[in-house]
Amino acid sequence: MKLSRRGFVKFSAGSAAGLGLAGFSLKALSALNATVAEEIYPPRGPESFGNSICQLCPGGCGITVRKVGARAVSVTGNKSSPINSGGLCPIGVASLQYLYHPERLRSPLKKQGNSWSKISWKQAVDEITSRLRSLAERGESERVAVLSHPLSGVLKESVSKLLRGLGSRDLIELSGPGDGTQVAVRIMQGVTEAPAYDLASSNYILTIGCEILEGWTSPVWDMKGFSQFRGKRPRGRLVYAGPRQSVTAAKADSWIPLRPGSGGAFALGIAYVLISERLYDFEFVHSQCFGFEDWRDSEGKLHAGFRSRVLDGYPLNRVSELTGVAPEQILRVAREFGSTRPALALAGSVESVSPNSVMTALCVHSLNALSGSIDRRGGVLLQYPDPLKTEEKLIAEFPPLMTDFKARLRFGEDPLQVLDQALQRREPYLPSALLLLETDPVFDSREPEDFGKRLRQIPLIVSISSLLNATSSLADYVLPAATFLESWVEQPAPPGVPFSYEGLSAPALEPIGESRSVGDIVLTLARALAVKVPEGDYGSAVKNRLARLYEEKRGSVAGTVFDQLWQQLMEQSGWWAPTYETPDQLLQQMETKGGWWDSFYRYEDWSRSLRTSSGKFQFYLPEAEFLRDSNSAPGDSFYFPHFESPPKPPGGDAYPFLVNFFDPLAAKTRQSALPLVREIAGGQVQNNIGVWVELGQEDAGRLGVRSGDLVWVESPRSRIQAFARTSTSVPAGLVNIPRGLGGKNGPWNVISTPGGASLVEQGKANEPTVRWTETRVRITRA
Amino acid sequence: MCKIRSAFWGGSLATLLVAFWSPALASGVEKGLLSGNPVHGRQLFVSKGCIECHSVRGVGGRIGPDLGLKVFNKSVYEIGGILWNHSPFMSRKMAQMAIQRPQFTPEEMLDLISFLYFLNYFDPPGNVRVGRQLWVEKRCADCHSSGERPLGPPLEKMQSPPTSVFLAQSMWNHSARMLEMFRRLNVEPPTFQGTEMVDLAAYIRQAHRNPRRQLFSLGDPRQGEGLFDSKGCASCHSSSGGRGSQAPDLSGPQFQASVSQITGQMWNHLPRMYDRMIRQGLRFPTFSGEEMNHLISYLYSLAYVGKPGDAQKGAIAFREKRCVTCHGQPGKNQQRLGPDLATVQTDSPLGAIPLMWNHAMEMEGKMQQNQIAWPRFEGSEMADLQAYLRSVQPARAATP
Repeated sequence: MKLSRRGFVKFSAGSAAGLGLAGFSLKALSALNATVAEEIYPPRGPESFGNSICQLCPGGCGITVRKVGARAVSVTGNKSSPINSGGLCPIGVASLQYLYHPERLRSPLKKQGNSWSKISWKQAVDEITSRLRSLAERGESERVAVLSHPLSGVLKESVSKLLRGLGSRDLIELSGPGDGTQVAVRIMQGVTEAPAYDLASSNYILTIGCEILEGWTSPVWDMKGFSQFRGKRPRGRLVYAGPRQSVTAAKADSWIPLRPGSGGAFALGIAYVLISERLYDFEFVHSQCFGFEDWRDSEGKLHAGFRSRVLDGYPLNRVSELTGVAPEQILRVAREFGSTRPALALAGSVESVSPNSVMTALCVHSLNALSGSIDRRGGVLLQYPDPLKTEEKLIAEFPPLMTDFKARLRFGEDPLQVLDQALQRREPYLPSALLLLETDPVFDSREPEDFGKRLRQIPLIVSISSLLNATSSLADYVLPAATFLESWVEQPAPPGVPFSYEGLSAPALEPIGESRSVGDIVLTLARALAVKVPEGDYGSAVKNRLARLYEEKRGSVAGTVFDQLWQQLMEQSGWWAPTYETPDQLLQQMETKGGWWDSFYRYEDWSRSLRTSSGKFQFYLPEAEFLRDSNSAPGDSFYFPHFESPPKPPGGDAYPFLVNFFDPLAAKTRQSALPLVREIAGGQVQNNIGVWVELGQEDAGRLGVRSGDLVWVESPRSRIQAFARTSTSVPAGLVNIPRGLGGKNGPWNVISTPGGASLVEQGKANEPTVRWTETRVRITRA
Repeated sequence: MCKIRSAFWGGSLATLLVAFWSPALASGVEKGLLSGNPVHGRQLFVSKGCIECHSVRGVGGRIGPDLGLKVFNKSVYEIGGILWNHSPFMSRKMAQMAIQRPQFTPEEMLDLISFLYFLNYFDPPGNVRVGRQLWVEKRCADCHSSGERPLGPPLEKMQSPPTSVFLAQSMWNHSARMLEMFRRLNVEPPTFQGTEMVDLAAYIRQAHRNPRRQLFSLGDPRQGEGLFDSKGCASCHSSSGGRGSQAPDLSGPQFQASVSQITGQMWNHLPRMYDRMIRQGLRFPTFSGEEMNHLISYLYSLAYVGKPGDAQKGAIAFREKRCVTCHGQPGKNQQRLGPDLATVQTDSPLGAIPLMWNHAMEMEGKMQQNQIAWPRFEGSEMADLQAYLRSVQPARAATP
């Protein structure tokens, strides 16, 4: 492909202008352009547009791809998507880098010694299925595992059937952050549906470490909600309590610096004021909650309720000591929170990496009950289930390889860490084969090298991947996956939205090389193993499934805010008037608009939103028994939202800084290795350093460190190199370091330093695998 | 040049005629029923870019007025007049914004107008607090409470979904029993004025606890008309199809209201109706949800056409609006800028409005050039003009 010098200069200038807005450095750009220019330019042919659904994070934003000839030249938000209404976050914009990545795989590869050889699809499928059959003959196929991001629809059904056909139940889905809050809602309300937070209608939001503006649930959906929250009159008030002045904290009306890991105590301090000043929703608490007041059980035993426990255990002086926040400040926030309706309290990703993260989320969710913000406008809603979800339990919730996962939820650990430990201990077993679906766990893991070594013990690794990434490099076979822009996409309702939604998009582009959609690859493998899976190619199977929506006789084809208003007015009157008359018309319109949704929500539907054994919101939590361990609070106390101080971090005076780890937006994507994604947080790619450390200015001055300097950050366990960023907002004795973002991954990802996670101490038995909030470091100039 | 001019005026002002005599429309319009597809009209409202300037209940553009409430609670001719009147202003705005003026086929225009007409059929946002107060004041709470022996089902245990249509059905079907009870208790039955029923409905929607969800297709005015007859309403009431004279004529604008407001009106006339039915030994009619849906839709659509135009007033309008300047007297074969409107025929009933619309920009230029002020049509003027033109049409026009 020819690119004139003039054309290249034009392209570079244009890109520089655009990317400069996103904080890019020209140095990084020139390196990227050299590759991108070859791949994309000069496009020729007529202009056309196609829709797709972004899969770079679980957000499910609809996107519109502008093409010139066969080339995609830009992506924007799909205006008809009820998720993002035309908006798009920087991660979505990076999808073109993903599409035209220089390491896109174009044909199946087989590892031979230390090199790869290209093979045909037939050979690849024959050899892989032959090896899987051999495992079955030896009785080892029940240890075949699949690792993927959360799956849904036809793909989940097909993968589950494939595994079941082999006798395995090990489908391991890597879930995102925020799961601690899901567990809290599940325990306190007895529901399995994902919570959805009605930011837009709320008048007061208290976030306790929840980064609502940095990829919290579905990024653009959150930003839309936040914009409406701020845009209405009177303007919604946002208070952020957390250790770091994050983007959300910076946008808040008030930022309350909090000691790392003390969010639960802060929430209980707020509860103390609400209860003692009777600022809680008396009607809701007394009619729809259980465990608030003291009560006697059937044997006549008296139990102290949440009210007594909070009033006894969390007076403001104590909470102040635990959190580092002045009592007056807690009092002010609590009074604001208690006197504003509707008000929301949110626990989030930062707190989810603390010990007792689920307990923290329970404490925070208690505030939502106290303010009566459960299943009410402006409060915590519940997502309506997927209308097409199969009733059949296809696969175990906690697969055998992950039996330890449930017990470890108390530490807010993600499945990857638990899997790593299972591989390390070979308990309950080492998988006989591992099938990776568009995942790169090695890159995402805390210790890529060690995790990679453990993976290599698995006799057969098959990676279905669009890129030759850190994990696929270790595989025996790599099957080239088409990106979502080149595939049929079926998208369930993303986390955070309350309504039923089924996204659908046809391929916007022809697949590069011989790549095939992940769905088609799975169907091919399953059929080769004589497993019965949905008929036809993946696109047909998806359409056949979604055509069943026609029978639902509700909802409408995806649309704008105006369509939502129309649907609500119709619903309120009692009407349903679809724009389609046949299933085919429905599918055709879904393809054009991007999906189907049902914006209906019935508030205060207690039969749906409070499904605990008492039928009420529970302050008393016997269901939390699985979170208990030997260090837990004794007796009844454990069954109420409470705070347990984290153990003192090791290191002592030799390591004067306590580390507050945080998740930047880039760490929340499924392709965090993309340069554009990594650069969102600030220029790092150009200097081969992935991470940075944020220091208080006084501390920095004492160490003789200035912003931009390279420093060594050393913990008792290891050391990493990082850029220093100094700030007046970082308190003395604390440093902020992003989780992840280290690791080397291909020519576009020249980061050569390990990420901050490698500093963290490894937990012992009955401890968190990774003790995020218990890491101390010292810092020296590099 | 003359030919072009002539063709232009012919194409554009002929639209005025149209409207009104295509058999397809006539079957609906002449009978006073809502024609067009409001669902398709809603799509057109977005796809043709109306929403870029106009909002509906706060959603949409801010350049033009919000069309959500009480803008189009008018007859089809009056809506046509409003669209016509705002054309020059709209053209200027669109030119400023470099937006292409949308074109409509006759069917599309019919759909759009039916959508605009339909907007007032939705309840306005009710006031839950006022509704709660009304629930007590109107004595609904006396029977529908969670006491020991409630006379009616408590609100939280009501079986019907809390939609406006089901509320209408529930209220109507249990009204006979309720009236008896009021009389036994020597209490005057409540009546609902203004938006009281809307507020009450808003409260019921919020307080309702039954998760059942049952939705209907949009009501069909023609089926409603059949029910109006078969359930005996037509024996007392007159309307477009009714023959009764014992009860008020329903073809006036009183039902240009939302579903709940229509429900309130139906409720208010119950005591009188009930007494008369008892006296005459008639059976009190009840309705299924689906039937009530059609019936209310019929009542709502009665005002779609509005009162018939007055040909004499139309002749005055034809002169005063200076139509005569370009078209000459209909049927006199006078050579003017535009064609003789007695000779212009179109295939579609409301074809006049889309043709007017589609040529308006050009017309605006020509009229400006000829220093003719943009004629505005207020109130019944459009209907009057149409009646006049029909009166001078040859036989085909006279018999739809």
